[in-house]
Formats: sequence, structure tokens, C-alpha cells
Amino acid sequence: MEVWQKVFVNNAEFVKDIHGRVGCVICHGGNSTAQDKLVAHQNLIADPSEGNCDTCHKNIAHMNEMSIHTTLSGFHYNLIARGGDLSEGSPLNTAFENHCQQCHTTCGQCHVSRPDELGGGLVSEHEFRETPSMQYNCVACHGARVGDEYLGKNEGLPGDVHWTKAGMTCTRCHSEELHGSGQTVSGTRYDNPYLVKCEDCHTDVWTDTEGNPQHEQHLGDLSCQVCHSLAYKNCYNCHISLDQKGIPCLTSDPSEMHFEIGYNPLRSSERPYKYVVLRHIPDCPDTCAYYGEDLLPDYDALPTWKYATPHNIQLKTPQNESCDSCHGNSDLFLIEEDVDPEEMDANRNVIINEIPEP
Amino acid sequence: MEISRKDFLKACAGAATLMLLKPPASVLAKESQTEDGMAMLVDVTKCVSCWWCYGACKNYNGLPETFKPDPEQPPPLSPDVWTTLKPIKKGDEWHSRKQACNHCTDAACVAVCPTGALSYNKLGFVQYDKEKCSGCGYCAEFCPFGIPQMESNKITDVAVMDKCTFCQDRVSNGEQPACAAACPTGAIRFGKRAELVKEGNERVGTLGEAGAKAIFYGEKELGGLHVMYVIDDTPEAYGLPVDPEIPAPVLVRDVLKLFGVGTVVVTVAGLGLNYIIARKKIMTSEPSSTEDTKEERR
Repeated sequence: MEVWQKVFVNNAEFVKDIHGRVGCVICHGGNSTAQDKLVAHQNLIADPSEGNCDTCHKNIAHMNEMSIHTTLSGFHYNLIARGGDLSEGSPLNTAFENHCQQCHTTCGQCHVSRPDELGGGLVSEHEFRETPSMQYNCVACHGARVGDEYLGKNEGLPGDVHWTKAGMTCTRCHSEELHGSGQTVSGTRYDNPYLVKCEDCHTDVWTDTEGNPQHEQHLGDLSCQVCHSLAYKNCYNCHISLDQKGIPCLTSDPSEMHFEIGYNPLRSSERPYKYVVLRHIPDCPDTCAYYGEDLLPDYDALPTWKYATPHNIQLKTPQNESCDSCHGNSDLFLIEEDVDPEEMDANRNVIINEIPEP
Repeated sequence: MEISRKDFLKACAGAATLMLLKPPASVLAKESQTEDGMAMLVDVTKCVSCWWCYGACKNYNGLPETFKPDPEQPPPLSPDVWTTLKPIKKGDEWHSRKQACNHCTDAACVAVCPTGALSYNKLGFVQYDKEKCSGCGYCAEFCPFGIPQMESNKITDVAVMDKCTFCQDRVSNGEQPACAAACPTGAIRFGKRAELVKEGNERVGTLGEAGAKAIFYGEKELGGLHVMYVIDDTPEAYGLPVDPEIPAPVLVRDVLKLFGVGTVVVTVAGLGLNYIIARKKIMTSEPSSTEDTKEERR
């Protein structure tokens, strides 16, 4: 995005909009009477979401305060579960503040501008968009994995049928859940009770079992993605290293395309499936070694192959062509030889012990 | 043409009576304003203290803009602040009343303004011609709501008054004032006064049915305000006088004005009468005195 595009405010719609009738200063601060740029920009607040949006959009803003987009509680959960010390001033907390906290978003970073993490910039000349832009907001952050899968940008693999056939943008499925549930999320995003599921729309999967023997056979035992998604990106060896200027930055090995079925690490009444698709996380035991030794002492407490919902859904996939496409096909299953020996203990509960017989 | 003493006295008495009976032109204007004028209805129960009325007022009127104020330190009205909020904390929540000129039908500021800078507009508001302001400060002194603010020129030390203009240019062009246009919750409504009076009373009724102690303020006060309020507490709690009145000196001033006019009329009439009587006496005595003189000469 060009610099002028980031700040240019000449949108007729914005001026007509109620947000455009109050002037800039009441939200952004600064000095409206100054003739000098430096003086005019003193005490300027680039992102005034905090303390402003909630005045009128009280309910949704208060809900959002608890959402993982705001709190990043999913990161907290994973780090603390692995024995990490996130107390104020701890090395891990410093690493978190410097590298993970930037994924935090505000109201404005979804509804007015692009996320700060990507350099910010107005999406549509300061227009307040009730529905965030798929391109500039959702995929801007969730692009490398989910975005590429959904839009068909992974080489040789088609995009998700919801996009290629129906042109559905992210918010068609993910709407209210993006603002959380109003409750503190104690675990990962899958603990959000409002999280959308395939079955919310595809209710007929429970009733069409007569004409669909595969559903009759597997419903409740397999997550939808096991049969209906394709290979997806997996990341490895994310490290905090120093860049050419000596500034700490995140680096990782090139991603790899895999499709791995494993045991469900988050089995619950909401997600009762025995088998799910697993994606390798980028973290490794010494991800934060730059900030200190052994910052995740109980690294094996959680699997490194985690519950996944790849966004490249197809009606027909290589694994659902026939029964034998899957049954007895060890390539599709996460077995010991697929797992790094250092991560074996962490993944003991998700590694498939017994591949379904042909 | 000769005027008889009787006719002259009749004319003087008639003129004095007309002067005493005829209401000032401003009063005639006010009567039509109250019925047909435009007004604003401020419903504090819908206000969320966003300060957008404050921001929109400053932005539209070219006043120095500021960041959203801290409710614990609300900016007072000043020559740079024509609209502000009077925040009240109830429990953990802030309630606010928009504070600006109430555009009274019987406005003390108009009554005391010696230069005609303040006057009634046919659309209902108290208009203000800054060019005519002499900086006497009477309006600021006598307004029962404490609205007009004086600003001294730093070089000449000459003061002029500033206050809410009711966005005269916008309202005259059929638009609503900037504050009302910016209000995101409908707490500031703009429209015909008669309709807003009805709306305000209905709102109070609705709030009353819901158990709130709501009051409609401004329907009758000072002949009827053109900025009226639905409040959910006492007027004092929201910084409004219970029974605002035009201060006594302003009323005495009107009586003294009439008394002064009457005194001038009577004085002129007396002088005229004196002239007529004296002239008649002179004219009556002239022939005899002439004869006496002739006799003396002889």
C-alpha cells in the first residue's frame, strides 16, 4: 500500500457518515490550530479505538475486550501450559511483548485500517466498514495458511469450494464469534461457544445418512475436514533471531504441505470426533532462546501437531474417492515416523497407533 | 394651522397611552416564535457522553478542537467552547447534560443588550451579531443559565461575547445544528418546537411508566426554551435552575424605561401647555398695555 493511500481522507461516504461529522481531533488528538506539522501532530493518537468505540458500541466493544483478538489468550494458554512464566518482567513476557503482542488487533484495525502488524494504512479513506475487508483485514493476518488455502494459492491445490463456487467472504461464516463471547477465554479459540461449525449450516449431514453411507458410517467419529479438506501448510522451527541490523525478529524454516490425520487432542461434547486433521505449529522448544534458556520447561505438555480446520474444503478429495483411499493408507495418518524424535513425547496422544484396516 | 390647547392635550395623552399599551416589537416576535419556531430536545437518558456534540460544534464553527475531554474535568463554557457537557456520575456510569444556550423566548440577554447585538430570530433562537457587541457584559451577568462568555481582545482589551449560535446558517438553510446532526444516539433531536414539546412529554410519560423519575424541562420556563430537556433527576442535579427568572433589575429596567418615556411626554406636554398659556396671556394683555403707553406719552 502506498504511503499516500494510507492517510488520504477524501471519501465522500466518510464525510456523510456520522463518524465524519465531529472533526479529527476529538478522537485523534493533536492540535487543530497549529500551522506547523510537528506542532499539529503533538500528542497524536493514530489508533484511538480504546476508550472511544465503546462509548456508543458498548455491548460489542465490551464483548470484544474478552475476545482472543484483543487478549491473545490463546497464546497465553499455550505458553503457560508449557510451563512458561509470563509474569511481568520475565524473559518470556519480554519476548511475548516484543514479538507476539503485535498480533493484537483493535476495533479500528479491522473496521477502519489495516492491522498495525502489517504497517497499518486506511482501507478505504477512513470509511468505517461494518464488515471488514477480507483482503486488507482478515487475510492480511490469516493469510499464510488459512488465506492461501481458502483462495487456492497453494500450488496445485484448488481453493475452498465456499470461495470458488459461492464467493463467500470470511465474515459470511465468521461473524459474531470474532468479538468473542463476552467471557474470558480460558483456552484456545476452540473454547469460544460461538465458534461456527460446518454443521451449523450443513444440518442435513445428520439426516441424509440413508443416501450417504459414508456419513452414516463416520459421522461423529471423523471431523468434516478429515474427508473434505486437502493438504495444507505446516510450519517448523520458528526462532527469534537477529536480522541484518541486529534487531530481534522471527524466522522459521520453509513451510511444508502435508495432510495428517491424528487423534483429536481437543475431544469434547462439542467436538466428539475421534479423528481430526492435525497441523504442525511453528514453535519449537528453543523458540524464545534469544531471551533466555529453557523458557518453556514443560514443552511436552501440549502436542506440536494441533487440532486444525484447513480452509480448502472440497466435496471430493483424494481420501474420500473410495474406502481404500483412506483405509490402510499410512500416508494420510500421523504415525511415529512423521514426528520429530524430539517432539515424540509431546505428540504421544495424537499419533495414530493403529491405521484403520483396508 | 392652529392647534387648540384641548387638541394638544388630547394628542399628548393619546400618544402616552399608546406607548404604554403597545407591547415591544420583540414581544410580538416572541409569540410567533414559540408556536412555530424550531427547537432542540435533549434527552439525557439517551446521552452516552460521547462528546460528539462538543466535537461537532467546535469543528463546524471553527473553534480550536480538543481531544475527547475527561468527564471528571469537563471544559467549562468559554469563547472557544459553545457546547459542553455537564457530567454527573451515578454509580459507575456517567450521565451528562448538554450545556449550551437555551434560546429562551423571554431572554434576559436580549432584554438587557443595549446595542441590539442580541435579538430574536423568527425561527425561534436568540441570534447574535458579534459586530454590534459593545462588550458591556450585561448578557453574561443577567443570563439565568450563565451561558454568554466574554472574550477580551489581548491587544485592545475590548471584550466581545460568544455563545451558541444555534448554527444559524445551517438552520436557516433547512439543516439541523451541527451538534444534533452528530449525535449518534438521538439524544439531541431537532425540529418544530410544538412537535418536540409533544415528543418530550410523551418521553417523560414512557420513562415514568418504566419507573424513572423523569421531568420535562423548558416547556414553560422563561416563556418556553428552544432547547428543552428530558431529565431523569432534579433540575439542580443537572445544573439547571428550578424556576429560572429574568433577574429583577431587568424587569425594573423596563418599568423605568416606560417611566422615563412618560416623564419626557409629561415634561414636553407641560412645556407645551406652559407655552400655550403664556402666549395666550401675552396676547390678551397686549392691547391694554399699548393704550397705557399711549396715555403715558400724552
